[in-house]
Amino acid sequence: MSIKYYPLAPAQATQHELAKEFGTSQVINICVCSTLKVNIDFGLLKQCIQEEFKRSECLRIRLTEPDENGDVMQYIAAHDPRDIELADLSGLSEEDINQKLNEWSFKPFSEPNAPMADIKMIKLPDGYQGLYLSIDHRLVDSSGIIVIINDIMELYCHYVFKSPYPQPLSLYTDALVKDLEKEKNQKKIDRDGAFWDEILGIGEPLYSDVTGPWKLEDDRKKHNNPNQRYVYRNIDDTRAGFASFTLEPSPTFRLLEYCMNNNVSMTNLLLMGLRTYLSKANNGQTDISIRNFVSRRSTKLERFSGGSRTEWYPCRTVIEPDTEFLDGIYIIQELQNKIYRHSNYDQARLAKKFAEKFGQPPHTTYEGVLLTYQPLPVRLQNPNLRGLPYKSKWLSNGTAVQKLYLTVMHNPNGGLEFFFKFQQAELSYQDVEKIYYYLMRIIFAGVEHPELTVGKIIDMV
Amino acid sequence: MFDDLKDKLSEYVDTPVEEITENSRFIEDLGLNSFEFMSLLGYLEDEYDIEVDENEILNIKTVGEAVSYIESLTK
Repeated sequence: MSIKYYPLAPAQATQHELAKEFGTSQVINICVCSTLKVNIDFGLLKQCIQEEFKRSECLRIRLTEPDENGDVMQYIAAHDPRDIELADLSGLSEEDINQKLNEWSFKPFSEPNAPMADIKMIKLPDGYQGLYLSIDHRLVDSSGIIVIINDIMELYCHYVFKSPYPQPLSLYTDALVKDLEKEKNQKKIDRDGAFWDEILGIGEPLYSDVTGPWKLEDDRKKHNNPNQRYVYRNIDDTRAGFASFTLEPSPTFRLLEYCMNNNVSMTNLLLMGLRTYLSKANNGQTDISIRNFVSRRSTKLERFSGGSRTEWYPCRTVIEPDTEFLDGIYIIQELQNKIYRHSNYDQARLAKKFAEKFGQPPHTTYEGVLLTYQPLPVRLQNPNLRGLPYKSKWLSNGTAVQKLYLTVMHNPNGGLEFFFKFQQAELSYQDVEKIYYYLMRIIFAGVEHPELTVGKIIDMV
Repeated sequence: MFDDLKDKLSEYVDTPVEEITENSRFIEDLGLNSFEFMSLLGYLEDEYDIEVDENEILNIKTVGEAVSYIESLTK
């Protein structure tokens, strides 16, 4: 059977460019450790993982050798008959476990025409057992990984508890072909481009740093440009720090209830919380930009085919201090809805627009924070699993290409996990702890006191 | 138009196509989130070669209202 080669879809190309920019695909490893407090039949789990490699096309993506420009094509390997390692870390200290997980997670998938996903079975202390996954971001994003984990769990439950055999996953190549077709629709590209022209027509954004205005001022002096509105990203020292915080189920429920009652999304509530924090940290700056990830999964084909579909777009709002918190969310929501409608627009094209319009140089940014809200939880649907203690830990690949990247996800216990990945050269754990503290205070002040304005909340917290 | 929209919606939601009526509300009954709704609009723009007004679409709540709106633009 002849192999069919495809170019990278735009979302994959964005990741590919990052790997090129930093000279290693380590920067785009995406890794997670997902365990339950239960005795697992590892022989059976191994079969389920091997079956998953057959069911999920995106796990079998291979990239060709880069051409002279560093560009690659992708194809699907027909088979991936691999052994699945069982790693028993149950006797190790937390420090040794972290060292082992880091050793795996830092390893790039740099060989062409080779597998780019590693799945291990894992035993941790205190009876936690499950899966470790490290996958190249060109193959999947966090939604894609969750689909894979859920599917393996459903397969396992089918064989152990005789629950129904899971529906086949959608074909990755079907979604890919549709994405590539969209790339040829010039009329759509023009329409999306016109939208971004309109956004850029508002004027040049203004950087706001999580640690205050000194960063921009410092950068202006360094580059002898008092009018500079962006800052240069640190691309030399990408050592990553990682901090995670859990919001308990009860306050999480309160936030979900607030979103439902006010017809706003959790993404927009988080964006409002973050931009209010940035405004506070920057002496009340009203013009705030945050880079927000859009998962771009709307159809069932897109939701169940894995793949890497995430694109990030700037969410820039100017919100005055006399605006009530909820009204601020509505301002964000209106903008985000428009962005969603134009979210097929390629990152490379958008970056080019910023460069042409504002003379924005490479390696610079207007956004001090990146946000991903992941609404899809790892499901413990099977009655035999529901209620079991569960741990899911997203792991650092050891590098941070952005100053601060916040991922917010639901955990199976009904709470929210806040994962902060940050550049150690730029921020400390204590900085991040402070950001989380203020973020929670701001959000709950807004949620519990709807009459409060942004200015009052900033003063209050 | 209605049948075409129903077929398209079946790619987005789990509701069986025969249960989608003109009165079905996109968010409350069919469970679309805002991203999915906007993505659907993008499809309709491409399919019918129309350009929807962002302020007007925010008032569209049901499948029937969407059909009427698209028909008004394609006339």
